[in-house]
Amino acid sequence: MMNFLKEILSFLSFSEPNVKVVFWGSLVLCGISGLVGTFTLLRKRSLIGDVISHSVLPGIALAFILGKQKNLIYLIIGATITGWISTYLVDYITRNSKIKNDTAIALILSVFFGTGVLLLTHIQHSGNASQSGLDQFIFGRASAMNMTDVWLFAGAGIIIIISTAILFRGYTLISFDEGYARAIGFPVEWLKLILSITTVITVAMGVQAVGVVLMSALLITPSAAARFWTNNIRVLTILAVVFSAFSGVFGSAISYTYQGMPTGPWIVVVVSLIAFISALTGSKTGLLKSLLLRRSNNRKILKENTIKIFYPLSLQGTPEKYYSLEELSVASDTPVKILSKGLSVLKNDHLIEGNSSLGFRVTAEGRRESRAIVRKHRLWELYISRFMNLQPDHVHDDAEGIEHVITPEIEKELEEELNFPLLDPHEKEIPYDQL
Amino acid sequence: MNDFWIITTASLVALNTAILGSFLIMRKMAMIGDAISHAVLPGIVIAYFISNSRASFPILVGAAVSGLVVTALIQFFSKKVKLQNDASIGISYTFLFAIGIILISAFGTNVDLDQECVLYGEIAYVPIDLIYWGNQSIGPRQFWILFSTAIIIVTAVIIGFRKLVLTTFDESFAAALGINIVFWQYYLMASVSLTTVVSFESVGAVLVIAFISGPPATAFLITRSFKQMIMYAIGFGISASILGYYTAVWLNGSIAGAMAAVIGLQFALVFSIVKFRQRSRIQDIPVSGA
Amino acid sequence: MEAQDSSIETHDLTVIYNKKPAIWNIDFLLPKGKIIGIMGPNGSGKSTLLKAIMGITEPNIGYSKIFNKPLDEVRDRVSYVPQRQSVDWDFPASVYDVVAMGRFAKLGLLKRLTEEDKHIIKDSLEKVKMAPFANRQISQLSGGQQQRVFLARAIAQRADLYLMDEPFVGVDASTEEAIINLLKSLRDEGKTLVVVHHDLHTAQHYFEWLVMMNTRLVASGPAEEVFNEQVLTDTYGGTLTTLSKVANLLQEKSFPMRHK
Ligand SMILES: Nc1ncnc2c1ncn2[C@@H]1O[C@H](COP(=O)(O)OP(=O)(O)OP(=O)(O)O)[C@@H](O)[C@H]1O
Ligand SMILES: [Mg+2]
Repeated sequence: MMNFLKEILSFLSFSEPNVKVVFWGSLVLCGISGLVGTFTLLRKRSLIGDVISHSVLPGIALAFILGKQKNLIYLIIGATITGWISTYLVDYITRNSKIKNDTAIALILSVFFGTGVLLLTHIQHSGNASQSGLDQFIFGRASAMNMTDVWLFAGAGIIIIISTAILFRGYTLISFDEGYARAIGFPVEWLKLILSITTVITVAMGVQAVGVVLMSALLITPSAAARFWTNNIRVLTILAVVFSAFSGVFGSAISYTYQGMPTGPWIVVVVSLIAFISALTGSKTGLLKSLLLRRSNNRKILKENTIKIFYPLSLQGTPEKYYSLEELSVASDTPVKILSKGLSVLKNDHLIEGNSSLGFRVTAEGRRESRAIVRKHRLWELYISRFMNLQPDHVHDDAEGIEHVITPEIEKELEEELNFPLLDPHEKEIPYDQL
Repeated sequence: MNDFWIITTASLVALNTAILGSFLIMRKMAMIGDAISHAVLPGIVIAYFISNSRASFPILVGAAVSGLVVTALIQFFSKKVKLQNDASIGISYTFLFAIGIILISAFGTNVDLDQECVLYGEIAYVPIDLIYWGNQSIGPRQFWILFSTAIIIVTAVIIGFRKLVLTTFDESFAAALGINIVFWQYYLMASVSLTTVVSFESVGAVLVIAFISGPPATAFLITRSFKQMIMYAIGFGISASILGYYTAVWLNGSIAGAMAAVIGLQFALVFSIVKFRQRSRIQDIPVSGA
Repeated sequence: MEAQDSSIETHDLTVIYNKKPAIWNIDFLLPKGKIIGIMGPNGSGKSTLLKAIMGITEPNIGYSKIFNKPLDEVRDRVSYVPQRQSVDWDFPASVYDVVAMGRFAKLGLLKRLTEEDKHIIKDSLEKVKMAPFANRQISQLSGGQQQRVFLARAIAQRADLYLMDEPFVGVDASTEEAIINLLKSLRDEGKTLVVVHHDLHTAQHYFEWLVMMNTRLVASGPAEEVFNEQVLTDTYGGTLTTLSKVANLLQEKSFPMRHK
């Protein structure tokens, strides 16, 4: 492990000149993909990214056949052309036949890729000497980049960033509501065209680093990961770029350090791990958050259900009386185990006093709490029996659940809507706080 | 003889995928096929590595496990954390595929698998890998594997045909009849996984998708009944295998790639004819009305 | 009405999507041999109610019974007509193929259609006046014709209770009249028809019994009793603010509606 860290650090220290190229190359390529991918995700066109990335392959092969050499600009132009044709075809087929979108995607993706493979193997078998390195487009090899390539990427990257910044509002609107954008006179068709050309160019360059098969992950995964943290599109975009750029650098460092490791898969694994971690811990939809929420809910339910037990007891007996665990268990028909858990929560919150040998009794605050929960329960029973058309014998179960959700504001609304009722549907008193 | 075995093997792939693909595209699940065909890779590699052989059983198990993992991942993203469906599919299968490629790079020298063959198979080597009955060769191993799979798939689909069609066409009506939707969904997915895994080795991940989506889509354009659609799809698939093979020989390129290209051409041709007919029919109407 | 005379009984039926109730505590008894309307604004849970009754959506709380029995015991006596938009009409099948699906439940996996089945299918097609279209591709049907195909499929099931989700949407006046006459003749044979409907003007003429709902049940009773100003404002006059606040809280705090 230490060794591994050392290797990564030595990569980041740029001790070898070529490292700089790989570092900046993957940083730029992955960063732009994260940027463009945000809109791919928001427009629900994630799988279109998949189509484009598979479909640049025949373009690359054709550019090679026509150009007779591996010239990056030709290759990118070729890739851009076939990539763009593929998205156009998917849309055309979906619009002009009964073929559904996902079928069109699968069809175009595999046919273009297959054709690309056919052409590539044709080139390889025909024994052209300079063909070596063409297959790097399938899985990507960032280490094959040179400084000229990086300058080219950087130039294209700057244009993409500037155009995105200028058109940000338009992109946001067409992602959110295309019809509305059209209605208020945005040039929707132009925006879509520019966005799709931007996407295709990004993919055409990105296959350098990660290869055609996994390029779609670079469009989808960073923004999906960012989605777990925010609803704000600007923040989303920035996060996606950061995640993506980080994975790019990290992935290429690994592939640079270990000979024979392809770059693309490592970048994808890193960014996918970021997505998993975000899904589990993200502030918006994170699983961790809902787990914590569930725990605090359960605690609240336990606490309120236990304090409720004391309400009927305090009506009949003297409030000073201590009740033993068994008495409470019998009175409330609750297993001792759950009950003692609930009692310890109550004691913690100073709602009851006493102990297991002495017995338990409510404090003043506890009495108020127990009246409050019974009041919410009975108000709700009355409310639903009136407004949900339920017989009095059907309302209890629902109120058992809802009583824990009712906030003071809702309680006040209920009281007003029901005109400060005194009795619940079972003719039992609704206990208000004595003023 | 080599031509014969290659074409026959590809035709068996075409047969299985045409049948299942017809269901998948009518269920709008073509991309799930895509996801599974990529995602089985890590399982296959690990099985290769552990069993140190190309024996079919460990590979099936490995592939089945990773097939389950990708389904679980997609479910996790789309149901548990509410990510949109297309992105859930995209993330899950690229992740597993990436792991598969990394494993190949790491163990590449130990297992005889390479990165390219994963994508476009090595159907050209099918005739070399023979199996023997006593001393007598009875044909390529891949052929027999695909042949048995075909028997399983055809039987499974004939048995379940009615329920599969009903759950595909109208899920809520089927549920109202008391048909277990989830069961038939898994029935279909299990068949798809099996087909994908056994086809993987000969034609690779991407051609499986071409076969799953292409011939059924072409057939869908011109058929009137679902049974007919399956028959046509099989026809298109098998003819693409034959034409694809000779195209590859002619261009001296990848056989799987050529088959995918032919599948695309078939679709383009049928699509244009249908469009052309429609247009001329639309122009006919005012004439006949006059 | 007692439970044993009812066609459908629901008991505290609650369906929760994404932690928010789509139908909440629906509790009613519906009579037999009547044309019954279910009405409520968009998104008020009408389709969800039918699906929960048919077991297509598992209710989170509560249960329903049909003819006073659990659904599984009487499934062959019930027919469900989904919303027309819920299927892909490009599916390669003919009108006849779709109506034949109405016989599948009785045929099981492999048995072929008998002469009797074929007769029933033809008869059902005639009842909805679609016999001349039997061999037509379903992708070439108009909206009203699609609806009639769905009705024919339901009739082919020879059920006693029909649950129909918005059969009048997107059909012209004459088709609507044809459909309602068909429903009336089925009713006259003693069948029970439960129909989700949107048009307040026609509701009184079509239905003998009305269920008014808006997530919760607002009213259920004979049409002439239920159809009044108060019930209509309660159903359509916006949601109950407190109720929807509580529903939102349930979702926000991912609170369980029932626990233990
Ligand atoms: N599968 C589902 N997942 C999540 N929410 C759903 C689902 N189906 C319905 N809902 C939600 O449940 C509520 C009730 O929907 P339902 O379709 O039952 O209403 P409806 O009364 O039939 O409406 P309409 O008149 O538009 O047909 C809506 O808010 C809807 O968004
Ligand atoms: Mg509805």
